[in-house]
Amino acid sequence: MSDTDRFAKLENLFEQVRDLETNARKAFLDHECINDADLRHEVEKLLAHHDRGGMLDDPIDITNAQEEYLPESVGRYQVLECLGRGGMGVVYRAEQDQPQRQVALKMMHAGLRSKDLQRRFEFESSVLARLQHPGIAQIFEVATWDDGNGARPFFAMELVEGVALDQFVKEKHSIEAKLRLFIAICEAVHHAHQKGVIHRDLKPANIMITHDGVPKILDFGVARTTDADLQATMYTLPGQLVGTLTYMSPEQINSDSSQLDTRSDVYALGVILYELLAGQLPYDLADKSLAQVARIINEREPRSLASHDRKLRGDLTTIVSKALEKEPERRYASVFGLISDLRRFLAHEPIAARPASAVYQMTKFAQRNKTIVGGMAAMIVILLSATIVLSWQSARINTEARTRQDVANFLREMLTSLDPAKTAGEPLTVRDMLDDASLRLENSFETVPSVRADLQGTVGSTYHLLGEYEQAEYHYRQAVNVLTQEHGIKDEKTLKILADFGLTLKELDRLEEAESILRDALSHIEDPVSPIAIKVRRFLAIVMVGMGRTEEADALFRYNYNSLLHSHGDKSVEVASEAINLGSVLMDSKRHDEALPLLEESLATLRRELGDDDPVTISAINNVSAVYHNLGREEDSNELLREAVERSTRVLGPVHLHTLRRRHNMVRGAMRRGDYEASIAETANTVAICEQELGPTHSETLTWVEMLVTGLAFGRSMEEAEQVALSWYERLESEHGPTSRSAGRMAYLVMNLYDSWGKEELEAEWLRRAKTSVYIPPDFIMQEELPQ
Amino acid sequence: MTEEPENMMRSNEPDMLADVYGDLRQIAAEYLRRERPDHTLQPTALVHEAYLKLADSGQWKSAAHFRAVASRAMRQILVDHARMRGRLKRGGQHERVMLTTGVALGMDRDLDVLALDEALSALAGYDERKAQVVELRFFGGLSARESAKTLGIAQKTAESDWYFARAWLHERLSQR
Repeated sequence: MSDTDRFAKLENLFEQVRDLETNARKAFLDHECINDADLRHEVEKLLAHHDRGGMLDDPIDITNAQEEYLPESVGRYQVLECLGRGGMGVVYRAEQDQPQRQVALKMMHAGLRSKDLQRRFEFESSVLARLQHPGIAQIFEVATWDDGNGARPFFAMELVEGVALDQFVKEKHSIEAKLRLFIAICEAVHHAHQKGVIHRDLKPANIMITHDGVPKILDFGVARTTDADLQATMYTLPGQLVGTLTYMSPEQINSDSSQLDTRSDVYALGVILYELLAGQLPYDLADKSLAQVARIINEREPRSLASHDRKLRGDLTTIVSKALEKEPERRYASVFGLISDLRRFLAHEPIAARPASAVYQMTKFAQRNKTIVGGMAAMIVILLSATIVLSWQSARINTEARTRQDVANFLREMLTSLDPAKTAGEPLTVRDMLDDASLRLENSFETVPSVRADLQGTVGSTYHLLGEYEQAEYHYRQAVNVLTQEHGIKDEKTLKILADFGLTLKELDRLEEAESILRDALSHIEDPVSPIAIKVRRFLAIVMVGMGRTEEADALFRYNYNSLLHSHGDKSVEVASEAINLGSVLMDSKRHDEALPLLEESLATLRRELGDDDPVTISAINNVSAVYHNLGREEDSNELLREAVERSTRVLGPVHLHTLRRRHNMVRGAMRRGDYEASIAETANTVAICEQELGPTHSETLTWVEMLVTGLAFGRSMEEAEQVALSWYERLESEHGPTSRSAGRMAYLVMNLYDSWGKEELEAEWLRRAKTSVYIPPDFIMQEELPQ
Repeated sequence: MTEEPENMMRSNEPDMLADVYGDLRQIAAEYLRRERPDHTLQPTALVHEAYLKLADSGQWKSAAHFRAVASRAMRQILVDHARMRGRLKRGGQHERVMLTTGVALGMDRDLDVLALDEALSALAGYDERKAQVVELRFFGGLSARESAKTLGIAQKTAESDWYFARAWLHERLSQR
């Protein structure tokens, strides 16, 4: 047997037994290698390596591909050991003869390439040598040294023994201790500024804390002196530059480094103060590319300091925010301003900095968001802002500063969270934004629970719109509790949220609960024809439809319909909307003759009174289309459905639940007609939209994946459908685990596919897999909708 | 950028390789020569940086194409570096230089780049595609999915190739 044959044989065996259990492997090899003990031995060796894994699994890390190199001496200094290596150079501990002392020697990597640079280096060196302050590591000498690879600058500096600030940050200290230390750091920086020296590379690694607790800043002016050419550095040292970029101001990243002034150091100090207090950086820059980092620093608002620790709310948050402003003019004009405010804070005096106003934040937001993510995002902002304003007015909140600030802060944080720049290229889903806002809500408005309850009501209804009923339930429940406590159950606001709450429970298929809540609400309403009574009754009727109790639904809708007819007249929008509901229920009871004229007439009224693009009209169009479908008038039905989808997409946005359901109906219709190619294209497109806007695990996204797979299976080939289904399964399985709801749902999908394909073994295997997940597949329910 | 379902390395243009090689080497050299920075630098980052520089030149069929060439370049750079180190140290005599891989050394010893290079060439003699998968994943920092895409093969195939190649290389290196 040739080498090549043997290799092929080896591979073949390995492939076959690789994923088997030990005993199964043995049995297989016993059989296959009966006459070739050598081959068997080779396979077993490979299997042993395979089971161990290890080497090669991580990509090679070239940073380790170097050796330590220690020169004997640099100039008149004896090199003792290497203290550290960094982006721009290496630092040695060295000994000097005259005067006899140990010094830190910093050798720069980059040589002095031009005469200009050389001159500037000499000039700046003399300035640096004059810089004397207990908070600054003294520079003894600045010179060049040629080790045979060209002259490179080096600095002989005071050797500081202690820990770097980045270590100190990790330890536990009181806020006051941190502030005092920070003020000492600022004083040293301020001293240097007064001598005309800007640091330009302030970061915790450059700040040592001596054993006596005194801060000493290293490398003052080093960046400028050697013109470490930020742009060049950016392109040559990707990984580590990010570490330094973290502390760089936007103007430092963007502009010519010669334009920098002391306010860039103010910014770096702001980042350091933030990190000291929060224990984290203002931006999450982990695993970001350089371009992303630059964009984040330029565009994104830092995470509010107060969000890390409630104790940091108020003045400290204001001070840090002012130091971290993007535009230098909005920062403290000098480090002294920063020091003064911190001292005032410690002395419990009013600080000079003012939080940016909500109006300013709104303006900035609008400027930055010419490319806002989509209609939903804007809608959430508008909804929540409007709720805040309304609730603020109606609750007649006194003008207590704390509350005003709470409102302003909440609004600001919400706005910045919607900033697409915040995600630095990652798709930002509407869901993410909402989650973010609702999380913040938990910690806001403690003093004004009714404002919070209103907001939670709004958040709840937004979740409802997105089809996130569990989240909606949570927020509604909280809102209901507070409102009942604050205003009583008979209050209209309480009743309104109760009604919405009931409808959410219905969507969660908790019909009995929904019924009992809505009936309870109805019993507390005195006027049976008031708008709130109509609303609660309507929702109750919808629940009845869900329970299959059509007669009761009919009675409830009819009661509403007659009441509205009486109060508003037969050409009114109110009557027409309710007629759409009533008509749909009549259809369910097969009373077509009664239903059809009612529906057609109501749709005409809505088109006339509200216009074709009103959400209520669009709902009616959809429902009338369903009626035509039931009557077998497919063409009429399709025409209306297409119209509903088109209007819905335009008016409500492509990810609105109503749009998606209408689209769903349309695609199902197309599939029924056998128009698979168009359906596949439409479905694939919708999957992509849902994935981006709602995320890959959202049930709506998965619904569309299911549609896509179905379309592919019947319209193209089982293989193609299998590929899509498996790739979704694998992706969700690897990201969320095999027991997750989303992976489970995809496992059922794969199983169903194999079922249709007639592959029984695979079907059984996937059923087993699907059952390990927490997902329980529902019986298929045709998703109809009723205007609400 | 759409990725084309064909084997990118089959169209192995030497000029492009040379371009990427030069550029990557320049970037990598900064690291190799001097410092040990705070952050580890995996090839993904380097390849990404090089891509930013070279992507505009318009000669690339796709990102996948670029990654394939860059992975090959990365392998050559590291091998050349190891050879040069060896020569410098021992006056031309061949000296093995150890590179450690990022994490989790299953074999509890450093990786010998030159030995790996030899083993990889031997593997290519039997099955070129398997060697390419290793090249893309280990030297190029690509994921299983990306390497499959780059080579225009199914992910399952790329994974099988990887498992076998990895075991085979381990075995060959452990015989040294």
